[in-house]
Amino acid sequence: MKNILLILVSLFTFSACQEKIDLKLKSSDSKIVIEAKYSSLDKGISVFISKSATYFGNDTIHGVKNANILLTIGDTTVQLQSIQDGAYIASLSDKYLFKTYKLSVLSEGKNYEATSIMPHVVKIDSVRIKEATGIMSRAGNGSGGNKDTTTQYTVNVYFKDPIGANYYKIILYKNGVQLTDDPYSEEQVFDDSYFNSNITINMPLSIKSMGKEVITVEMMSIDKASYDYYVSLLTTMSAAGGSFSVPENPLSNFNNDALGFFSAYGSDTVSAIVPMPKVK
Amino acid sequence: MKKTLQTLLLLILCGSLYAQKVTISGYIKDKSSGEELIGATISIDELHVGVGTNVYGFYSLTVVPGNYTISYSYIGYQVHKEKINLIKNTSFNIELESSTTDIQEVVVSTEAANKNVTSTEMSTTKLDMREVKALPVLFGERDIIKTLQLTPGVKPAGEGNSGFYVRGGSTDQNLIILDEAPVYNASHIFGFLSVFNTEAIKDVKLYKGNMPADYGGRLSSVLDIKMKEGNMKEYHGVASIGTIAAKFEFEGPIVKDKGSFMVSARRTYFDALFLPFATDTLFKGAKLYFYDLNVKANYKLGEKDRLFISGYFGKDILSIKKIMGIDWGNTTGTLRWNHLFNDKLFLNSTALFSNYKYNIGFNLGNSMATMSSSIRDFSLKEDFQYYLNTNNTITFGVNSIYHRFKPGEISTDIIGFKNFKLPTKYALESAIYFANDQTFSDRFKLNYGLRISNFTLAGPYNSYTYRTNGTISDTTVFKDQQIVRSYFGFEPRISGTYKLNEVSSLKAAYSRTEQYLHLLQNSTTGTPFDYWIPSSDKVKPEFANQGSVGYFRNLKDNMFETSVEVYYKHMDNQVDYKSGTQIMLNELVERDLLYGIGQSYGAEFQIRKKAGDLTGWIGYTLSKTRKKFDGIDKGAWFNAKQDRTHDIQVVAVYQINKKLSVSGAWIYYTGDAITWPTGIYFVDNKAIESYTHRNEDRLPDYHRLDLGLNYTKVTPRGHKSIINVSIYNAYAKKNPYMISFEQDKKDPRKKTAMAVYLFPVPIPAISYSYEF
Repeated sequence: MKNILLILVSLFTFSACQEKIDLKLKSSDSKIVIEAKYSSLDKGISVFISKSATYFGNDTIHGVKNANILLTIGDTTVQLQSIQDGAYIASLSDKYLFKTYKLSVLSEGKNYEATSIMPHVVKIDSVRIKEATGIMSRAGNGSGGNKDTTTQYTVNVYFKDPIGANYYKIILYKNGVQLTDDPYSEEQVFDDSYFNSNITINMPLSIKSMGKEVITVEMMSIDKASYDYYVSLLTTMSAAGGSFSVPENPLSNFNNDALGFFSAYGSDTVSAIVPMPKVK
Repeated sequence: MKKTLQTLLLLILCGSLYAQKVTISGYIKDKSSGEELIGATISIDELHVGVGTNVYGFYSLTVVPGNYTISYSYIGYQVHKEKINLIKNTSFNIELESSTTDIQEVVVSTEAANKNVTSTEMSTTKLDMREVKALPVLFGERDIIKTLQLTPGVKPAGEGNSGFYVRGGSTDQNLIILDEAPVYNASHIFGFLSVFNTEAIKDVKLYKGNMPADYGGRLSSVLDIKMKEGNMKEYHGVASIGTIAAKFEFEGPIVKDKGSFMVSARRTYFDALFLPFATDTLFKGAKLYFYDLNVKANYKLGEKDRLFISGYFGKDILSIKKIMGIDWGNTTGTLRWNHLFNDKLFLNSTALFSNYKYNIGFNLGNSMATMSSSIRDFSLKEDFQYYLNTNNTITFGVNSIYHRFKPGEISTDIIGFKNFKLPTKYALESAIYFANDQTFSDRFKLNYGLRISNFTLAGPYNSYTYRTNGTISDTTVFKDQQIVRSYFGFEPRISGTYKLNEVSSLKAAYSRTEQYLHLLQNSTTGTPFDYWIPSSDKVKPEFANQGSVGYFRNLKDNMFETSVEVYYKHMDNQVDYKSGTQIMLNELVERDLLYGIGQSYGAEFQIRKKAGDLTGWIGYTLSKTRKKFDGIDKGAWFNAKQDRTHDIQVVAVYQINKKLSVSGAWIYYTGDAITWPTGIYFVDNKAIESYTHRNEDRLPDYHRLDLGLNYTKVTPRGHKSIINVSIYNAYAKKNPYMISFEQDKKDPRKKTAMAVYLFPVPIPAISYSYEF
């Protein structure tokens, strides 16, 4: 939606202009941020705890020390170990995969809890990368037009959606580094309400590349709470500025006003090489 | 209830049971065109009684027999006085002559001079189409909604936006009707212009508060727009070209004084003019235009019957070669039959059609996706007007709308994706109403009425029950035509005037309104892809109670009208969304809606100069609008987007001589309530904004000056050449259209606020029209 509006705005190029504006923002108390992930590809859970900072400030964001973090899986409770400021981990054997987990974080006298379910892994059938055409050739460009030397590619991810309600997140790595510049085209968060179960689906994503680069696709099967978090995060990020929608904090599965989320997910990865662009 | 009815009946009959009475009735028309004049005044000088014509130009007045001087008057027309010995029921039609500036000696009415003081009407704005034409406007494209936005209590929904807020109501709480047919999306090019082509419009009236009982279905306001009927005597037309659009209008008699027609068309050439200069290669071969077509015809079948047929067709088209294509538009149709049973009872029967639809097509590379959504109405109305006597004019009627909602469907050939269609919904919205405009004494008048509305949602329909995590736990299936839910609404409407003296009065009004349709908006500014949903077993009807009190005072022999109105409005069952709600193509969208309350209160001050070379007004509104939802900001009150504390308009038109007029409009309002981040944090290697309270911040205050100039030359044949020049944002105020936060490429922690200004420079426009 914002893109369409931006295209429209760019029509007024004869008059419209963009420039820096000084805003006086209200500040609020620093809030706790908990990022907790448990991937089926990793051999355990990792948690990072930090604090929010002033928006236009210069203060760096630090990890929060001395938290007491417990992970409960059925009758088993595991305590996470601090590995550096704010970072905590616990190793877990494969028998704890694909279960329901309760995470409880005790930090600075307050307790925060969240629950997540790790769905079974949905395998990627194949990944095919092609030069983009149609609207995909515009993805990530907003209204600016192609000015750089890279070419827009479509990354087609084929997989079979199992029967039942499923939620997915796909992220991409280029030469081993996660692509995070454009969360609207280099990532996809979706559920299966728009496609038929049990047949092969193609989910297209969009990247910029000079060719000959290794793209790794990670397909994460996530639970409903994580899906709600990611979707509301994308909504709020696109609403930032408040001109067209009202931004809000994304829906966290943590209680007590904590920012962040806890997501356990089943993951599969496949890599492919970007073909060289056609000579124009 | 029974007791109320008895009292009502007594009230009406009281004073009318005595003496033998006679009735004078007829139509008031414009002498040159034969078009009926709406709201013209007929008064009997000896008795100090009067009545206005209805929307078809019909009047009826019942008095004791006698010798009377009857005055016929209408704003901008010469007053006509007729001496009549009224001894039996009389039919008297009259044609009034428009006041051309050449004739100075005759009395020109400024609308029964003090009608604004004496009538029971308050919180209404009536636009004079000549005023609309005199005022400057964006792109030089005259627009009734843009002009309304220059009046107190009506606020634009954003820079250059034709959406409007009335007394704290949102844009979807305005009922916009064109020849009685609802227009579901009244904007072109994403809101920059409204769909109403001024060349085709005869009359515009906005009810901001106490809408009469014959209107209903929206909470905040009614914008009642009527198309021209067409000249009954001779052929006339207007051709005009402007900065962005060309317009053509043609009208004339079908059979002289029996029937007439009017056609009007408008098309923009924005694409031809601006696209070649667009810097982005994207726009090569792109299409971007809209068109409007208005048609109307009427025919008198006899003295007592008249048929009208009118239609509107409009469409916006936006396509970018090989990438996407979008179109959207309204179609409305109205068939009306006026019937006069006798000199006191007038009936208008109406059959209506309205349709709003959008289509979107995307080329996704190797595959395509198309999407569409629509709302369609069929409606029947019976509206009676009974002129019981000089003291009572009774209106009553019944109407019913059959709605069909197609919230959305998508078809695509992407592998594995299913074609997807949200279930079509059907509903019947009906109402019966009664109202009486009663004069109790020379000082005290009351208009009271009741509207009883019903909304029934019928199957086929699936009703879902949800678990706390939002998944479906149970489904109830309703079969075809099975009633899902039926709502009744009791909507009393009352307004009264107490005349303090000939030039001042106190007025008060109370109204309750119900709204059964809700607009789901993709963005707070409104887009063509917003869609309407019906009230259902989950979504409750919105309702509002509004009370207002006003003091009206005319000065200097009615040359100046001043008024102060204070209002309080409470709104229930307001709709908002949970964070992250997907509006489009979401069958379970009702699950993600939040319900809350809203309140708006304020004071509107206006001073208006109606006569002389210099006309115009100054308006000031002080108001507060806030909302409260359980699921938003922990149930705290927050400022609504349309909350603007101060709102000032200064509008002036100066007629320098017969040929030349200049105009100016200055507006100022408090910046929109907006939500900006209060902090920043990192998750998943992304810098994310954190928020504390909703709409606690403000955009910078908005202000702007527009200037206009009209030069009219009359040719020897009596044709008119008009040149209009306007400058939008004359002193180049930078009003932000959009604010975004940009991230430093190297350090994502570092953010910069960027503002986009759509019109940071004066935007000149010129148009030329030729009236023949």
